[in-house]
Amino acid sequence: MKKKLAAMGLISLTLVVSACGNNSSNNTSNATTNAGNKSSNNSTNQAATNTSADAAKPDPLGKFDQPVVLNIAKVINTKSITFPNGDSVDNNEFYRWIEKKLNVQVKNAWQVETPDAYDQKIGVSIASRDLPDAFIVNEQQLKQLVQADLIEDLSQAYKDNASDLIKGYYDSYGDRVLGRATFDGKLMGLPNTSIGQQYNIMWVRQDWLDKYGLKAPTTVDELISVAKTFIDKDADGKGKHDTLGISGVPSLAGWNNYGGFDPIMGAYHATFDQWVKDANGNVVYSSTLPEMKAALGKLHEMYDQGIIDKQFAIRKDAGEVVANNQVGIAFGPWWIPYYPLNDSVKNDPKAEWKPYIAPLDGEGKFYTGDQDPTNQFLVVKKGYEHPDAVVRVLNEEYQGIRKIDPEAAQLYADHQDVQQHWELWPYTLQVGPETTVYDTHVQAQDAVDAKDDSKLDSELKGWYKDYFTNQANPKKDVAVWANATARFEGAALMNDSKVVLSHNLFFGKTKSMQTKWSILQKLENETFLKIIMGEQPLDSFDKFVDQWNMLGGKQITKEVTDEINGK
Amino acid sequence: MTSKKWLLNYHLMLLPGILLLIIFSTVPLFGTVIAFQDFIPGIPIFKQTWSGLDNFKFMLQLPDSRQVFINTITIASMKIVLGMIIPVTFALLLNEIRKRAFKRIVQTIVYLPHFMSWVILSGILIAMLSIDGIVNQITHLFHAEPVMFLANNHYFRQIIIWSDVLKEFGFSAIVYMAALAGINPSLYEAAEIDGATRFGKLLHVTLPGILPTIVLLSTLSLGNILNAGFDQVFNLYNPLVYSSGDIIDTYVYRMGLVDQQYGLATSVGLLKSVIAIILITISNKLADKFANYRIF
Repeated sequence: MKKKLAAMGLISLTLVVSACGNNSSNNTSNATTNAGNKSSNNSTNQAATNTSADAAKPDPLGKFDQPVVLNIAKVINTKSITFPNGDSVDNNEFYRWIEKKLNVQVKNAWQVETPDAYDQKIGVSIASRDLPDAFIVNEQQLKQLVQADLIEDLSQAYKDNASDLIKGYYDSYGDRVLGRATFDGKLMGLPNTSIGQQYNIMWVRQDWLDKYGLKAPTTVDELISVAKTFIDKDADGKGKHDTLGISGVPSLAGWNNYGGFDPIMGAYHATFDQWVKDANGNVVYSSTLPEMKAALGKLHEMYDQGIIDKQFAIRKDAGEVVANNQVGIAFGPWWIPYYPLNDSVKNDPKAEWKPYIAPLDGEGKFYTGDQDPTNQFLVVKKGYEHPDAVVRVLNEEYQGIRKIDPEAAQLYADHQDVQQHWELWPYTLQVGPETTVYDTHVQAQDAVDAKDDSKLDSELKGWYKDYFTNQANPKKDVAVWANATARFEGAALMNDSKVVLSHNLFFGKTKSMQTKWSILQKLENETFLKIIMGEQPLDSFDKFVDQWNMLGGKQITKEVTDEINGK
Repeated sequence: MTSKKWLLNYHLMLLPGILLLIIFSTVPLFGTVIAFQDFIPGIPIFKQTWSGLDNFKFMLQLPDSRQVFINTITIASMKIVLGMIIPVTFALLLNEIRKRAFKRIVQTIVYLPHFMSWVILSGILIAMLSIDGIVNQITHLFHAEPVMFLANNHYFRQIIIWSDVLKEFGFSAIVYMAALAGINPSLYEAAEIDGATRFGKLLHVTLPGILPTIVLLSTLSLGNILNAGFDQVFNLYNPLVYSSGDIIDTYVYRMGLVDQQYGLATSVGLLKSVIAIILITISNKLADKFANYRIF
């Protein structure tokens, strides 16, 4: 978990892309700094637009005259961070920088280590109405807070104070992100944006394939036979029979995590947790469709044959078996070289992980679900006097995370490991353009092809350097290898023509979902786990569908249909 | 005069306990009204919309709720029965040993686990029972297939019950040891003169001597039949064994704090309390009848 969190933090940070003026697809403009601040145009970042300091409008990066105190709720895993010179999550260079820039003192009202603990604590805080000034909630909690009238309307604060950078990020999604936080025309929270292209693909140990003269699998059946070979021949060569086929996670599927079975489900055109239209044009929930039953049947077969790790459901972290080199096939997004593949390479320098868009369906397509563009919202307690400060802190945070402000780029410059923890900034709210993974890859790749990095910003320059360092000396430095592999091999596949995205027709939560959805999801997860592990026959799937409908699924489907039809 | 003063002191000693009860048991009782509401966090309790018995109806429709009640009662009653028989047997056996030093050492060793939290013990158990843990390594010597004990509904309940017995039997035995110490030694002498064997003495002197204690403790434990041990189950279970090991307390925790279905979770908890008060009343009656002991 610790490693995973650290990895997520790292990935999020590396996802972060400072807007570069040279790429048309990336039309986010740099907020130039205004009078009162030192000019922060670094040479590569020519501002696309000039936000002139309009006297009537507040300055998004302007300093407050009076000190403002901002109490926030914080989730961050501190076990993986070694602070220099007595700093802490409550007092570090990032917070001090915000205070210097804005005269806003950010304080952590409380801090927990894991997302689960955060969810519970914030839930109890809401129920007892004991709230910090600004905090991050999920969609259900956002709706409850709006109903309970506990949070501020941020429309004005956002309009006047958000920097062009932040606005540009949100606008690149159209209304799909801000609309989710808008109630009766009022913006009640600042959403995060889930960066797209985080679906699971297949990573295979090329060196193992070569060892047995195999080709990379393209279908589920080929995948099974390759996994079988790895298991039977004891590919890891430790002399014990401990090689596994495929690792998995108890949640079974999902994006922006690793170990999900979605690629296998996709081969049967089953998607996880989506609202889609069936053949008759009715809105249905994808997990209740016959395609899902077929996929579960196959997964059970694979589990039964031992292709799927028998212990997958109780492992604390699916990455462990990958790190220990017990598997030669791993499902995960483009970023898994950062974790767990990096540990695999650390433990076995021979490991050659290669990404593939596979397994494919009968027509040679890779079928997967699209992503919810937002699932977290930064909200402000009702009655807090400075919603504008909340927005400005977000502006400054992204000036820092995207390394737009050269001064901010110097924070913890001598402590790269600390600098990489973007979660140390006040809000753990990711904001960025949707297709950034592939777009930035193209930029970096073009530079590599031209052997010229002059057009790149500082972040991409780093990738460029890593690429050539890794070429000269493969895997010598695992961090360099991870960066090169993720950015130039994993991300390269994110625009593959074989990928078919199944579009979810409805993200969000209807009224009945607020009370019943978690129960239905639990039912789904437990049933699917039992079917895969053979504790229930495959036909119990039909019973599950009936039960699902009875326990509120039918009502929810109706509500979702109404929402989609715009009632 | 002194006796009056003593009385006052005793009452003062009661005070902290009563305070704790009021703060942690009586005051939260008012919160149980949310079991009858369509509870939305953040809105004050008296402004919530009332939903009548909807939460209870929905709870009874849930596929898990029956299973959870069955699990709770099975696990708790097995714990009560075994947690009775084993300490008594152990106390009787230990009582027969004449080497005092040995007796003391054994007693200390067996009651130590009681003072360890389940957080620690579950860590040890999980390590022992995992697929490459010591238990599977031993069975592997006999060419048995490795078993995932903690992910297997077939074993999980047994593990919960027996590990709890293992943890607590030493401590429970202390009460019986004390009762045994209180038996008049002249009874043993008389029995010996009457020609009783060691086993005869155990049967006719020792057992009747501690019978009231046994009856009293077992009737009192009836009130606990719905407490199957939250911290133990919580630290040992995983989604795969919900069907055999999920108990009311863990279920309420998951529904209430994790899924934030506060109203629904409260209704489950309330149902538990209702059943518990019925059982406690019954056990109080029984204790009165068999052991002349009444709480209320």
